[in-house]
Amino acid sequence: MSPMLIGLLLDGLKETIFMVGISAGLAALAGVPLGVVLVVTGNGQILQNKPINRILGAVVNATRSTPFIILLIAIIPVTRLIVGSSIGTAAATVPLTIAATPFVARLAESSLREVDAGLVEAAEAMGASPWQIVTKVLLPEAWPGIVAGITITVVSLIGYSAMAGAVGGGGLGDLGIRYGYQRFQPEVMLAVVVVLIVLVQAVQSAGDLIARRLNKKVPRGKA
Amino acid sequence: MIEIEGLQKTFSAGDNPTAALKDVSLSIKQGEIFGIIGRSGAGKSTLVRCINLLERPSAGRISVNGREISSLSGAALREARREIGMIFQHFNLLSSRTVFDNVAFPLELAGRSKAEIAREVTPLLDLVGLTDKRDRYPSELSGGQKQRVGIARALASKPAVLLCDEATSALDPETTKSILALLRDINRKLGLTIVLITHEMPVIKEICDRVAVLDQGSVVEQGTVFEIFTAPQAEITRRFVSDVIDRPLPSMLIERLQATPLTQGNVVLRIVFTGPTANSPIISEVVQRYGVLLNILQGNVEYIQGAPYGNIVVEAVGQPQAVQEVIDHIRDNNLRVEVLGHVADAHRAVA
Ligand SMILES: Nc1ncnc2c1ncn2[C@@H]1O[C@H](COP(=O)(O)OP(=O)(O)O)[C@@H](O)[C@H]1O
Ligand SMILES: [Mg+2]
Repeated sequence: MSPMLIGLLLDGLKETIFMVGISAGLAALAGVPLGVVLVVTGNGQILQNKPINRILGAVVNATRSTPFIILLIAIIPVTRLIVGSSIGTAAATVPLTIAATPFVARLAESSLREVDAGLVEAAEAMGASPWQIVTKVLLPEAWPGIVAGITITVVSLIGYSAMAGAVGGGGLGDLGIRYGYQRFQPEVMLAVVVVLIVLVQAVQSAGDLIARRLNKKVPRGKA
Repeated sequence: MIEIEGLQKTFSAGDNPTAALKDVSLSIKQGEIFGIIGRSGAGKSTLVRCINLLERPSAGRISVNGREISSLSGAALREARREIGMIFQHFNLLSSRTVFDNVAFPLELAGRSKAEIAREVTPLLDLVGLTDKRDRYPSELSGGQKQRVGIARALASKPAVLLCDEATSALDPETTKSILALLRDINRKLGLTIVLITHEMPVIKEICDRVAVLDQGSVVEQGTVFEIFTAPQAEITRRFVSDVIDRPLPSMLIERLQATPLTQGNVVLRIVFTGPTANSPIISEVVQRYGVLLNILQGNVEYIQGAPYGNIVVEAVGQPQAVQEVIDHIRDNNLRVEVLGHVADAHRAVA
């Protein structure tokens, strides 16, 4: 492998990690609270609120059903407003974040729903406020599932980030397409794929490890 | 202590509303262990959940410790709930917290400092016998240990009342006994009023002072546990009681038992002794006075709230006239006698 190729790969890797890291971080910050709201405003829940639940649910579904490549182009004006440019790695984080947030929200929602209703009831019986129920019961009990959901999101984002090449986002996917496809250098394509596989594997293992550490439902000896 | 007046609760999920509670009134005294028994679906959980307003009554009034509960909401309700502890059939412990942190939970909710929490939790762990498990997670405990954590957690906010919804129903008989003993102990030591819901009569017999029988959303009978056991009135109560007290007759006896008197036969009687008379030497008295032999086929004496409750099945060997006199004599002594049937006299048949 030529030093130039290694340099290109390192740059691409850095860009991918930047794009995915920023967008996953922002998506988690927005998506987890959104998931909480989706749960607590649901039917028979502690802060039942039909209109809010319906509207948020509809927005989340609409975003999730829009193909990423369309989202990417459709929100160019928004991107320009936020980052000042519609081209480049920073610009790519905007559509990635917007695509990933509802994804995280739904995954967080399903983990939060799995928390035994008896726990919420016990906390209510002890005089817990809705805020305390969210922060001291729902989130701590659902953390292992939420972390697993964020891991899935990061892996998906690595894939989506390749498409961000379409807005000149850079990253490994962009590198693979430019060199491997357009300039027909299959060894670059291959190297990109190998690096991506290693990256995904590393993310998945780290995520699994954290989720397992957080999960106290399984006795320690058997974990 | 707990006054429930005209409590009604109707669930209107779907098209057909369910009347889970129909006009329930109860008065539970300070410091007693009050049992509520009923079959599954009788409305027991709904009733107990109305006491801390986990369920809002459709009508009626509930007051706990002189405070009207049913009109509270928001912060005032949360405040009032701290005075009402609750334990559950499935324990409902937080899986992400250790034993210590689970017990600390209600104190944390009340905004107590770390130092205060440590000071309060340690003796509670001691009380329930889990000092050595303080850093374990619920998944590492047995069912009985989990319920002990549940009890310690419920006691942490120093409640005046403890509500127990089928608290021993998920436990084996041995563990049930130890949990009930712990509840009894806490009741005596702390003077805590306990409301205990169950579908198991042995649980009532083991620790309750008074009991109400709930059937299809109504209280059909209530009284001291001794009264309910020894003189049940409602059909459902009788069935509950007989599950615990009446041993089934031995199959050998059932096979021989006939409904009509036999020429060469004996009468089989069930004699029930309650309270102080359980200790009187009635059997020997009858034998001496009427010359009737009582052949004991089955017998047991239960102690309910410390008072004996005896139940024996005898074969009365003697002249029909004398046997009738025996029955009358026993009745005159305020014991219950019941003719179960007639059997051929094994000895005479052989002879
Ligand atoms: N949240 C609810 N919605 C509708 N019906 C309910 C609800 N909770 C209880 N019920 C009904 O009320 C009745 C009494 O239930 P419950 O109090 O749980 O009985 P128990 O605890 O004695 O088994 C049952 O018929 C049950 O189906
Ligand atoms: Mg129940």
